[in-house]
Amino acid sequence: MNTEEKIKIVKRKTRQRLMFTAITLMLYFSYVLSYTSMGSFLSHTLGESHVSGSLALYTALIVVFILIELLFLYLNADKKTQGGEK
Amino acid sequence: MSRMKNIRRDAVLISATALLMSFTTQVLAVGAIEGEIERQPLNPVAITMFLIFVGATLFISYWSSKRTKSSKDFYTAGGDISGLQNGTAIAGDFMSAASFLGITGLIFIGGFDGLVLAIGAFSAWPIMLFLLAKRVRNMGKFTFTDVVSMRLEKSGIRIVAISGTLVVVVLYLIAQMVGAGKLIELLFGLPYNVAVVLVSVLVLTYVTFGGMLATTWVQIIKAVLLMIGVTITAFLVLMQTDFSFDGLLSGAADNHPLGDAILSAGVLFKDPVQIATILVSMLFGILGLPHILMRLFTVPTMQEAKKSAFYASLFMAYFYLMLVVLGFGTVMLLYNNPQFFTSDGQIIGGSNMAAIHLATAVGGDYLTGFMSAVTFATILAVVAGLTVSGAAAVSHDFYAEMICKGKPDPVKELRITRVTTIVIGVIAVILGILFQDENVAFIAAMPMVVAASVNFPILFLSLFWEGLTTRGAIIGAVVGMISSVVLIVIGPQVWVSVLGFDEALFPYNYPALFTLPLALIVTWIFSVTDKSARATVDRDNYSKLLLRSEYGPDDAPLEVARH
Repeated sequence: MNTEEKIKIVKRKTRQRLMFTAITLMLYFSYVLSYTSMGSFLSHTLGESHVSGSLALYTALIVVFILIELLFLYLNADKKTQGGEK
Repeated sequence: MSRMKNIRRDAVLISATALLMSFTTQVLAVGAIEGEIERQPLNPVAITMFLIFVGATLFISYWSSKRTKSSKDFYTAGGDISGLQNGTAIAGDFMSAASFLGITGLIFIGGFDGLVLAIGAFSAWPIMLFLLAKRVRNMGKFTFTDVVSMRLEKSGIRIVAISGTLVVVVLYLIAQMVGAGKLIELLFGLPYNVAVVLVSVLVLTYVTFGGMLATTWVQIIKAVLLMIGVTITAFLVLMQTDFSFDGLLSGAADNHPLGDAILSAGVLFKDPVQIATILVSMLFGILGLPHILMRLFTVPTMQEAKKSAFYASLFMAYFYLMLVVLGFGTVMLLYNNPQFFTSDGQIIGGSNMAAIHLATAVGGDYLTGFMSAVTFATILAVVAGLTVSGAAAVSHDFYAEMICKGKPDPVKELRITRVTTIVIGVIAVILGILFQDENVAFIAAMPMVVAASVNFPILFLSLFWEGLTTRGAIIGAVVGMISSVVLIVIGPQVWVSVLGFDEALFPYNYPALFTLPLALIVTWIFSVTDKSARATVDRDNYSKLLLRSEYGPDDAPLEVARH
């Protein structure tokens, strides 16, 4: 693979990195919703339980972030054979 | 009897309300234990477990010293640490006593709001994996300064990056030492000065003889012990509610003076801007912490670097989810238990002791001893990581790369590294003792804000923006540093708490929401307007480094222009 092709792949990977980062940051800052009137629904509990929307959001964010990381690693492992990554 | 119970309940209510009121200004002092502390009686179980830990880690230092022959061994453990080991060590380096005791204490006082620091601390790790792990690993040698100086004019940017590293390390060290001194005094009944000297001597032994290898294993052992301790405590807490999480929350709401309000946001914080600025400071601050970034160089390949970040995330996800159980467990089990309150209704030792009291409530002396020893191990692991990073900034970044232009005498460099380590240890003791009666809340906030506003912008832009020039990077970093310090000084923690003014000139303790964008904008302006010959070289270097950042040094040897 010549340098130009490599640079093309690197640029594609860079876009992917930035996209994953943007999604994560968007989800991350959704945490602020709990403190705004727009997110007042998060103060309600889920059904009959004592779990508030905010607490559910906290837990969901942690789990979702781990899943996003797994997806990122999977996509990059997939590229390994095509991209020439060692 | 019932009347006595009511009086005690009222006392708890009053003290909790007072704590809540004072806490809104003190909440960000998580890195330190504040004010007068009440020394606990010696706990023989804690002492025994602590001695076992010290014995084991000293043996590791001895073993590591046989394998630490060069600067590479010292800074990066020879680059032979596996991804799983490094991920565990990163978790051990990062999950400080502030995380464990501070966040649990915050939940004890304000319920859900205490978790804001936990989500901030955890969420940096996915970004570390996406943006930094691989590229930093491929571009650097021993420190993040290597990475940022790769495509820019070396001497200027190195001075800025070294300053950023040392400011963060020294401030972080002060907060850790003052916190450690007070915490150990509290947990083990040792005098403050003895505690500070003891921490320093142990850390110096680990680092001076065993370098990064010993530090790594101290951090791994500590991470494993902390996970075990947190798991056992959470298990015992949930046993009280027949393993019903809803039962735990219900019990907590029943026992807390503020009732159901603690289950959602708004008890400790009400201002969304304050939450946003804490979140920015935590996330981007962690991405700029030199002692954390340095750990990425201890693995042999870029794949292992990525695994490191992922395993660190996994361990921290588990830890911060368990803290929910521990935090609400303290509310459920401590508020109505007079054993943990003083006669005037204050929790013994302050809210930072809530996690330890919880261990006593569910596991008796053995679990208390274990958790106290783990807390001590936590402090040692964090301080050891900081010390290695500080030593590398001086001996590698300054001496080897700047003074010797990248060609130092290896024996002399290793000697300087060890001497620097000892100097840092002595400085840590002196500062720890000097600051013992000061309000160090601002010192705990500053490293995160400086790392977010100085280190992160230059690191991120040097890896992801072709247009970055040396002039832009230096001016942006200086503006980031000055604005961070100024806004912290005129903020509530210094202007009101330390200097005694009635009202702060700037309302937030963690100003990175403002200082980070400012640093980025200034860097951008001074880079795009830079028409110098050096700027052309800086921009031309980018595409060459881009290849190396993804393919590694073997596939993309470095050909960047220096001058």
